[in-house]
Amino acid sequence: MAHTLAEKILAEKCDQKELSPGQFINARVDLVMASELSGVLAIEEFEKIKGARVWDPKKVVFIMDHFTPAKDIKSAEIVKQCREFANAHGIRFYDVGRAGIQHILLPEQGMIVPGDLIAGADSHTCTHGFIGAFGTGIGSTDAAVAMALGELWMKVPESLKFVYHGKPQKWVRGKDLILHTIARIGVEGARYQAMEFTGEALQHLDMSDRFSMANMAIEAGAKAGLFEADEMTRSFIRARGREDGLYLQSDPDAEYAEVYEFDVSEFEPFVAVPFIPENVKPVSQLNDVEIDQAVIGMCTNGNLEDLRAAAEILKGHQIHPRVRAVVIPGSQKVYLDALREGLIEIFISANCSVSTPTCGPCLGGHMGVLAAGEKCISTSNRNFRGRMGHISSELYLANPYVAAASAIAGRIISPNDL
Amino acid sequence: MTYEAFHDTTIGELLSVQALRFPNQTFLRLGDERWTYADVELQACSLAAGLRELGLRPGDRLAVTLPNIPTHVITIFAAAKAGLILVPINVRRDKADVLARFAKTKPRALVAFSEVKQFDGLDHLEVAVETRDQIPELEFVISVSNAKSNKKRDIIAWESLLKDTAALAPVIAKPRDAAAIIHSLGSTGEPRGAILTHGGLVHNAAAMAERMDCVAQDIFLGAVPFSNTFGATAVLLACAVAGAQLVCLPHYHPSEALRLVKETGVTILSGVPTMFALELNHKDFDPSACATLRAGIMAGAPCPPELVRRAREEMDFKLLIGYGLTEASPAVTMTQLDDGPITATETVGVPMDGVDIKVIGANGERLANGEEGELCARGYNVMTGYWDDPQATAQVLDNEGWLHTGDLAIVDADGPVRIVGRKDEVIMRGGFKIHPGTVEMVLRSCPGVKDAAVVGVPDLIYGELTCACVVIEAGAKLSARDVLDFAGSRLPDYSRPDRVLFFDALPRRASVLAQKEYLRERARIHGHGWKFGKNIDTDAIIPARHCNTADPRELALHCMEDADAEFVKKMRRGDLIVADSNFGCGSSREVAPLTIKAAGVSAVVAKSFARIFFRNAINIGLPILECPQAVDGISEGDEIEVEPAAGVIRNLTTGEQYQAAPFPEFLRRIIDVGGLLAYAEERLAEKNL
Repeated sequence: MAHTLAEKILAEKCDQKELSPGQFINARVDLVMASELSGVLAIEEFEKIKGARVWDPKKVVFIMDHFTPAKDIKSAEIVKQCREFANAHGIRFYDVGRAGIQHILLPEQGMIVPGDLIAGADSHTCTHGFIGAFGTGIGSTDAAVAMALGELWMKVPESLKFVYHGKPQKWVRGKDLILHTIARIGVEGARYQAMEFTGEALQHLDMSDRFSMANMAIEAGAKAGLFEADEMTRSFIRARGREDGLYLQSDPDAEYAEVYEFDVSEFEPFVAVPFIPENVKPVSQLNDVEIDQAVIGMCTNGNLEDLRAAAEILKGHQIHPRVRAVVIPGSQKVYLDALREGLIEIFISANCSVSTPTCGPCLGGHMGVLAAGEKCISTSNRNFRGRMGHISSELYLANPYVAAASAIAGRIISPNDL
Repeated sequence: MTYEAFHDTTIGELLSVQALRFPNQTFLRLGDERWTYADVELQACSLAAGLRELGLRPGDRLAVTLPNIPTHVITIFAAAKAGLILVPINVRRDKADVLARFAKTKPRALVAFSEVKQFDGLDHLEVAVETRDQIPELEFVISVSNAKSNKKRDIIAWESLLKDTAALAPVIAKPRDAAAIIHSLGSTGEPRGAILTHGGLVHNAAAMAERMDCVAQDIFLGAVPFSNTFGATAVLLACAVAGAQLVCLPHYHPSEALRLVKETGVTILSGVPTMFALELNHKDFDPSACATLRAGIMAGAPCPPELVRRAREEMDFKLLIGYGLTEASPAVTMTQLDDGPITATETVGVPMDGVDIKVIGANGERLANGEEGELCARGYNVMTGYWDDPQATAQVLDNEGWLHTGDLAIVDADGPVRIVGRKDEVIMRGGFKIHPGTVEMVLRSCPGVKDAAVVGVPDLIYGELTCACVVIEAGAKLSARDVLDFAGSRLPDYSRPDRVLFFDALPRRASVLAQKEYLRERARIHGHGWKFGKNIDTDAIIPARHCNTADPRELALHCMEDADAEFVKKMRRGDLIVADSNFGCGSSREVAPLTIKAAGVSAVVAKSFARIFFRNAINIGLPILECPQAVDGISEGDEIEVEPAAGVIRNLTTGEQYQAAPFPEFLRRIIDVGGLLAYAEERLAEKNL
């Protein structure tokens, strides 16, 4: 029988020859990940399991990224709890200065390879589909049990296929493809399904584009967002010191619940307007939206390529006097590479604030929270009411070119109109 | 046979007297090793000296968490001789349980052991060391197991405390002094430490030895944990009173118990009903191997007459039924060796000598024989109170010294007592009182039924309906109809179960009441459907309004309210949620299901197992029925009936019926055992095997 990529990866993880959508499985995980926010709850649950030990300390990682560097005493205490647990159990622990945002850090540090099953106590764990790994967000109770057993129960999802044709125009990136896709199918359009992204348009995009697309699969309700691991993936993985991995592909006649086709050559950059990621408009229709803040980076667009894109726009400019801009590299390595390439100098010269890696403002935590009525353009992934701050603030999601151009113009514009 | 000499003495004195009377008689056996009464006396005195030398003073608490091994027995007697108050902890308790028991009793020393393999992987010494960090009063951790790391962790070797007895200035405990604090569970499952006296425990043990006509030639099997009153009094102390032998069984397994009975010639076999059921049903059970058995006590849980009959017949011995509770040291009543077949199997016998009982009505008035009411007991055996908990004490111990047991009983005209149920578990169905215990006993005797529990579920017409939660034996084929027919032929019509739900297992919870509460939640079937359909990320709006916190718990606690302020308010017990959105992907994913469960919602009907919220509901033991048609077919407030196990959803308002997607076995099991954590414990146990 023919199978999709999702079915093939999961079959490997429970030693089944083949799996069909709807089947329930208890799968072996390759990595369990938690931030301080989910980790602290997972620890509590873990300690309730009689006789539990961490099943394999090498395969459990805690990454402190949401409210770090600790924004208040409570965050500090939570991180401390995670640190102590990690020390006691010998699990991998990434703290401020050595860390980054978890989804950027895992592939960067060579912790994952194609074909892995990653159980992350963070909903954006679906990101790791960008290298052909099955990443999925879990709750802290699941994380606790996965730490103890190395297993995760789940239902095998149906798959949806998204085929992208054509060559994208300048300023159009993976972020625009995924925003357009979510607009087409809605925030529940892929509920509990695996989104599989494919098509020749991908040849014109890079790994960071795939990263942004897989990252936002959860915004359509998906269980995972997957790319087949190809030669581009292989060189990405090799550059991070790994030769192993399962380079699986969907069978040509595999069954999909639905197949969607897009011609990306007609796309212009898109913006998701408040208060839901499916509310997507072409940037050209948004010329009267004045902004107070721009946030560039974090996980969805926090890779080096994303910072290069923003710097390309900001070079030689200064941002609008009314606007604050915060640039957040996705990891320490991204930060250092950006520094060496001179990107950081461009940002600072443009009057942007450059932050240490953190999820910070994306969830209204710190490092750029919005006041009442303020509007912000951001390269993050959610724009729900109050997501970045006050309940009356507004958040617009876009790619780094658009965010940078808008910061300069003081209103949302296409880089073409600069 | 009477043992009047032990009706007013102390645990330490009991041993001293027996060591003089039977110095060379074997007291304890473990494998091929034997300890005479003189050996135990000498070691107990030595250990008492060592404990005193550490600086422990009379009245200090000594906690003990040990299996049924000779060092446990010696430690119990040593504590008595040093005037210490014993706080025994069952070796199966986990860290949280241990901490809860220490938090109030504040022991200064703890005797523990380290046997990771045999006891669920829990290293008790490790727990002890961690406990010491949290309970500042706990100064000394004493280990009966030798480990190299002990010194490093500041653990004292038990052996090193055996001192020259000359150093010991005698501690003269009095029979009214506290000998032990033994924990029982309150109505909400919280531990309460009953203070039991030397005189109460030894006298109660003597009374039981008398009931069984025990003599020095008897051989007791020490299978019931010495850490509870049943094991301590009815087995260990009763054996000592008779000057008999005690065969220690550190880690209970039915085949091991049967082997010891056969090979050591056990004459006195006591246990909880489950132990007897396991032994009788064990493939190695051989009636002829039980030839030496003479008497014993079944107690500790309601004793099904079928089981008592079977044990008496197939093991061919005088098995008595005991009724008691921790707070009464424990025995209140017991059947007698010469009881007729009905009294011997269907009652709990007559009060122990020196113990008064009465049955009271709802207003505290004394009821006549034959009337059903709460059983109260008074006598030498009743605890002096709960340790450091006057409020809890006042709830059960009245001004006249009566212990209110919470058990409902009828005293027959000719004397014996029948226990009919728990006061707080009675089901009121259409004006009739139904005792779950009675129905459960019948269900358990149904061929093919492995276990059963009965709970009341709310009903619009009858007030409550009786719901039987049944676990079927592997391989047995049994329908709800079969179970109902069986129960119908043995129970009055009003107490037959109205509904049968099949479970893969009954929840593993510390207290029976907590289990029942869980089953009631699971069995609730009738309520209103509420739609939770806002398509929002429930964690998203939280930071804006609660941005001064980084605590995920605090954030999440607000999420339900923020997501739909009216939603939580309108839910009632028995209701279900009809969810057609993919809400909840942030911190809320942990707490939102708990919030819903706390509001009493019994199930979630969803379009799919979408997003994290839904799987977390399963993870906390809340059934989710995946059924898109039902979601579309139910309107806000419709009257709904659901059978979670069968996946059937009925909309009583529209008359439509829906079938949810089937649950795989392991998901049912996660829900049945009470959630993912309990399931993980099972999986770990399997893996360790």
